[in-house]
Amino acid sequence: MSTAIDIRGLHKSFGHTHALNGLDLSVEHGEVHGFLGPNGSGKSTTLRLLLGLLRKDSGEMRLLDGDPWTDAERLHRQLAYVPGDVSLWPNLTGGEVIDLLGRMRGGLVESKRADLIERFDLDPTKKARTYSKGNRQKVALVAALASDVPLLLLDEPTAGLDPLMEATFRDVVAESTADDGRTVLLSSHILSEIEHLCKRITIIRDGRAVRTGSLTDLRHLSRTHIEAQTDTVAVGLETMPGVHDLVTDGTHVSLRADPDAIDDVMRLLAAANITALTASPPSLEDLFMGIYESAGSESR
Amino acid sequence: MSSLTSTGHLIRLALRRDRVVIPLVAVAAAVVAGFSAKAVYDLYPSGTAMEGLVATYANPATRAIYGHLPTPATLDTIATFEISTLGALACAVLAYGLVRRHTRTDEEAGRLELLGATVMGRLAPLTAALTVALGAVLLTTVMGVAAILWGGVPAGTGTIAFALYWLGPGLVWAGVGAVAGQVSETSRGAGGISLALLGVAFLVRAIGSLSTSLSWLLWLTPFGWSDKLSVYGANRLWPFAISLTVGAVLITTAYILQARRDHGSGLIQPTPGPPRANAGLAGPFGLLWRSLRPSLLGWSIAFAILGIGLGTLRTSVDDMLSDPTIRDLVTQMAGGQLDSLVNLYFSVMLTMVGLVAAAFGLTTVLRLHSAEEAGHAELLLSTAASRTRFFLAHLIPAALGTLVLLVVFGASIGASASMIDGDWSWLSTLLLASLAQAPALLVVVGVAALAMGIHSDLAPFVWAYYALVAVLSWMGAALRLPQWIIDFSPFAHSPHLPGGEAGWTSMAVMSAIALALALAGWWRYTRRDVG
Ligand SMILES: Nc1ncnc2c1ncn2[C@@H]1O[C@H](COP(=O)(O)OP(=O)(O)OP(=O)(O)O)[C@@H](O)[C@H]1O
Ligand SMILES: [Mg+2]
Repeated sequence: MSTAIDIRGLHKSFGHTHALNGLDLSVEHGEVHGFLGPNGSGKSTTLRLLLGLLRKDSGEMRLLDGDPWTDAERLHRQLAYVPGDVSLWPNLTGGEVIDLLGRMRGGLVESKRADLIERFDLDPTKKARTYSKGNRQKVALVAALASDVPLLLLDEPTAGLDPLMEATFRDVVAESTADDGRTVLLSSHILSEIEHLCKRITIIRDGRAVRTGSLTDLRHLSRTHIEAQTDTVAVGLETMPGVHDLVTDGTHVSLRADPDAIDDVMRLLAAANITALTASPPSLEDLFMGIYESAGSESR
Repeated sequence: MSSLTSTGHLIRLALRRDRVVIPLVAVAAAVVAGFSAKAVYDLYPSGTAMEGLVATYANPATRAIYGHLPTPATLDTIATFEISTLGALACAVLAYGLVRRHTRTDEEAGRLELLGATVMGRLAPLTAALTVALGAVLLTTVMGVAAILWGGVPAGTGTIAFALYWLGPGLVWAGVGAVAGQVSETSRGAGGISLALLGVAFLVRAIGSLSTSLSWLLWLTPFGWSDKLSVYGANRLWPFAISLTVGAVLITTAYILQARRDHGSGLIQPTPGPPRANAGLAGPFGLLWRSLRPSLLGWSIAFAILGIGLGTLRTSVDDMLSDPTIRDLVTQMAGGQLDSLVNLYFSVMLTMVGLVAAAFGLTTVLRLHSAEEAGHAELLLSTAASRTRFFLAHLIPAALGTLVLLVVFGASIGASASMIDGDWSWLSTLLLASLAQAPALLVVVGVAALAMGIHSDLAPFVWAYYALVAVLSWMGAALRLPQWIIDFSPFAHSPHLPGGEAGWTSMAVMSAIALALALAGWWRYTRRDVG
């Protein structure tokens, strides 16, 4: 089975701004793929290129076995998009917008439409002008999720949703991949959402992918926090390669270890006779912060 | 915090955003005013017999557009006559445009909310908008006055009257724009109200100027009040007090409304709508039609009223012809055919209204710009709607809408002229004459289509082009511009109907040009970045 989205060496610039600088991205069929990166790193630009709204400068780009630019209409029947800045027609009601967008895509699934309006607690008779930000967002989400399409491109879809609705969103997306086998490319800044929904992620920075892979792999690539209490003082940790943020207080040790240093650290601690030990994977925040920052310093 | 806190900041912000458009309008008005005044002195040496000259300005077409030539008339009166009206129109449009832009447009877009959260007084945006608008009107007037003095018009009380002629409508429409921005919740609605009132005021003034029995109507319109100033004629200054009062009342009303309403709301409260879309709302055409329908209906009604009004005034053409001196003069002017004065009247009215219909076509095509700006284009083009369909969903209604307006106007002016004359041949003559302008209109629409095909930010250039066409069509001859410049306006190539040759070749050529422009625009649109 070929990939749903396959991007290689994609370049796009706006005048002097190089929004994308050789981006690689690949999304498998049926997966929810997390797309992360700092502000202005090129996530929305990538989605717009995939939609054929923007024209690439160079690089390879395949979407559902088609070319996003030349096959736009055919592809658009198979996907739904939620833009980062949802702006609706002020004089249409939410219900009308949902119908309009649904009809213009592959068509609406009536049962889903009703179900989603209910679950998102949306009043479809209100004029778009009078919706709150979160409710506008919900209109766009319902329109996308109720469409009969196999691919969703979501650009920060939960910005402005309250925690309850955010949870609903997670449930609905999880269901739609599990039940309908939908593919989702999800750009988001909300790490817990990514952690909850995505198996694989791509992190971009300055228009280039800096990490891509499963969350588990990424975790493995990162430093583990180790705290230990030993009988005797463990010697040699200071000079050991791959050990960071070392704090020793007599026989109590706290450190962060690179994945390939863990084994050596444990041998050394074991030699000093461990009495208590906690080893925790890095928090998601630590992980991303580290990548955002280090990637920044690399590219500069 | 006072309700005016931060007005100064807002004024600076507005001036920063309008640093091109305000000087552009002021300079354009001044250039037109200066050169057309100068042209009059160049053409008629001092000592030219006024009687004959005055008679040429008494024709109904001129009256309908520019009003009565002030008396006693001198060359100075003639030098300032036409530009008085044009400058007043420019000032009115400038005034309501700027007020709307800095009040309701910003409010609707949420920009004022962003500012409102800073230390900003409740009445600051309105105050800033009015200051900028009135300042711009004043600047335009000062430049206009300087220009006519340069053109050779002597300084005196007439100069003040001339300045007040421009200021009056500017002041009134600053007020109209301010109130419209309070009443309507949308920027488009506010613009529609202001523009409709401008149209009504102008029509009432045309009727009041043409018909002797209805001349009291001049007391009901700001352009009539300006006419009463009698620029370089009797030079009365007091009628300006009416404009001043009305402007002040409107502005006060706007302040009262502003102080009482919620941010973001208008006087008309929103009501719930249908939870489902009807079958017609299924694509870009349905979507555009939905917002275009009420607007096209409004324009059609306005055009029908305008047509009936201007058709009825055909009688006043006869009134004027009953005066033997005018009759002789006009007969000479018209090349011996008395009939052609009536034809001339209709042909000028048709051109004028055709220009207005072209504006409808432009606003429709330029919805491509607002759709892109608002992000609607992005959302729609992410669906199966192709770019071609989206583009055509604007272009076709623009073209058909202008045609509908031409038919409505031609039929209504034709029908009312027929009823007055008891001669039903006017109906088909004027309907066809009105439709004969279609190629020229389509060229204007085509230019807009090409601009949108190249880049959505070109919208202001489209309006600049339209202003140029309007000035050339109205003033080209008065400015004694070389023919090749006048030829730049497609309206210069429209057949002069009724009365003239049908000019099939030029109509065919213009249609071809319009089609080529539209195709080029479409071709570019399918190839450029959107959003
Ligand atoms: N139409 C445009 N014209 C000029 N520059 C643009 C345009 N669109 C995007 N850019 C630039 O391209 C870069 C990438 O922008 P993009 O919107 O893709 O970022 P993003 O990753 O979506 O950021 P965010 O997390 O803030 O949404 C930015 O530097 C932005 O300023
Ligand atoms: Mg973005």
